[in-house]
Amino acid sequence: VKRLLSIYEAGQMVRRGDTSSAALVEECFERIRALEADFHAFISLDYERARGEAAELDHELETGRDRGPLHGIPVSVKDNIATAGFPTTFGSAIGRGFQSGGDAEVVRRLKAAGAVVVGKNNLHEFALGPTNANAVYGDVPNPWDLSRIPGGSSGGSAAAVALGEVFASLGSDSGGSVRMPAAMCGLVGLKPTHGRVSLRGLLGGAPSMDHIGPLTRGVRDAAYVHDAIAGYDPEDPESEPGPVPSVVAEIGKGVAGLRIGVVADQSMGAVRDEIVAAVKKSAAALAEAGAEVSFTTIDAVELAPYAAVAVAYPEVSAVHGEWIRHRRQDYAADIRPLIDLGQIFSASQYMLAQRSRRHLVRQLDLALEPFDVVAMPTTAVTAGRRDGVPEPLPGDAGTSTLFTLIRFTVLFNMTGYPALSIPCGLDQKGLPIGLQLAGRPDSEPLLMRVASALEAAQPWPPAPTPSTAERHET
Amino acid sequence: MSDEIQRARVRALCEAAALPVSESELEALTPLYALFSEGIEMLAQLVEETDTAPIRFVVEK
Repeated sequence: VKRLLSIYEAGQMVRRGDTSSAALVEECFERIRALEADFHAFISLDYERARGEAAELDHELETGRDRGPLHGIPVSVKDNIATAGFPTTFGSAIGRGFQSGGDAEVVRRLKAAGAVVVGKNNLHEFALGPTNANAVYGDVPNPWDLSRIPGGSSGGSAAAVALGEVFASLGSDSGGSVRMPAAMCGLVGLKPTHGRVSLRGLLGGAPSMDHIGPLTRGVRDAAYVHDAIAGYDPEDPESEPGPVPSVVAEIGKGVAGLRIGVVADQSMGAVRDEIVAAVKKSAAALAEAGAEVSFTTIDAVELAPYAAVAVAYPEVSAVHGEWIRHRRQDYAADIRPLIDLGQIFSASQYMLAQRSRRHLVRQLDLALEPFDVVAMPTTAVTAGRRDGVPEPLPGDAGTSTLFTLIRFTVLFNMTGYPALSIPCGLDQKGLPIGLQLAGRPDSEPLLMRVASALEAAQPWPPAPTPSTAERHET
Repeated sequence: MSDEIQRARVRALCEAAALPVSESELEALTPLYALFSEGIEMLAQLVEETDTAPIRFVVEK
């Protein structure tokens, strides 16, 4: 069984003349045609446009212009990020027919780096949920088990990359929406430091918690996309001035001497035992590779979801204020209560939650102080069932499914600190488990170093089971 | 707070916000509001303990 090509491998083949960008686009569309009826990972596609761009990029290479690692590589974009020439629907009936006036800054940068955008990915409506059940554009199942959710809200992006329909996709992450589907679909997902990647052209979940980041099949691929999209955007008020160094250069530098704090217990809330075991195994692999690994806990994790909801839903409501009143029937039944919730929070409650962010930052700084990087589960559970039948997590407070899913990810949206999810094993059902690495602002280079060391120590994907074998064939 | 009182409170908040919420939507919204109100009370305590104002004002008698 062959595995899917990485961006690096495809790029090498193109430069050797073994394939071309046009051929890569053809292969991606062959997969898309074969798989989309089951997966609905895309809301819109443009074969002719992709073919034309690929031909132009092949011609550029022939004439000596090489734009770098993404030159001629087929990618996709979550459908809440403006992309010229494609509709941008936000995964909602309300957005049907919306056309953006131009590219979001991240899309402009991707294209400038030579990537070929083949289409726009399905998502949980308005990026406001984890299941990617979408009555308007089709439900997205998990490629590892079609009876399960892919995680969300960037579930279409995750499915498309995991299935080999594209090499990478851009997702948005306001509470874990890149990292959670990456964990549940066996991918690498990066949420960069707030302000490092422009948000201009994104309609995300909650403006002060939004981020854009890549989903890819490997660490080096994530680094390539990061390097293409990161950097100051003077037209985005959230963007941080100053140069952003390449993180690709960190790949393979090793972890000798790096101090890594690992949370591998139930101290931050209930976690499935087999996920804890996979995190411990990763910790042992990093120690074997030369890192100074010790076990720790992060107190801020417990409060972060409460504060996050009190920040996020008023912001969401502010964005949706007119639509929810006038087009209420066009919202999915699971979305309406969340927007309503934001409408009935008071301004003083919102301000209180905003003030609590400073506390979360202080707590997280204290937790990070002895370490270069911290590691923990990305999610407390693996992909849940699409039919909604609960699979109780022993010891879970049982507050809400969303709480359980965002418990370990949302702290890094509240603080803006960078975090990355990398596959670290399979559970007994054969579903992927994600390990989350996080650090101080602008510590993406360290996260990439640790992630690439772990990838080398625990090669991915593991031997595919019969049910997943087909998707690894190229 | 009982479920009934909580529900009445959420209904009143929705009316004040002019939200056209159906009974079934109220059913979904009430437990969410209860959960997050509880969380906000926890936050209030936390902020009170740790987020001391840099200048305190006192009233001279």
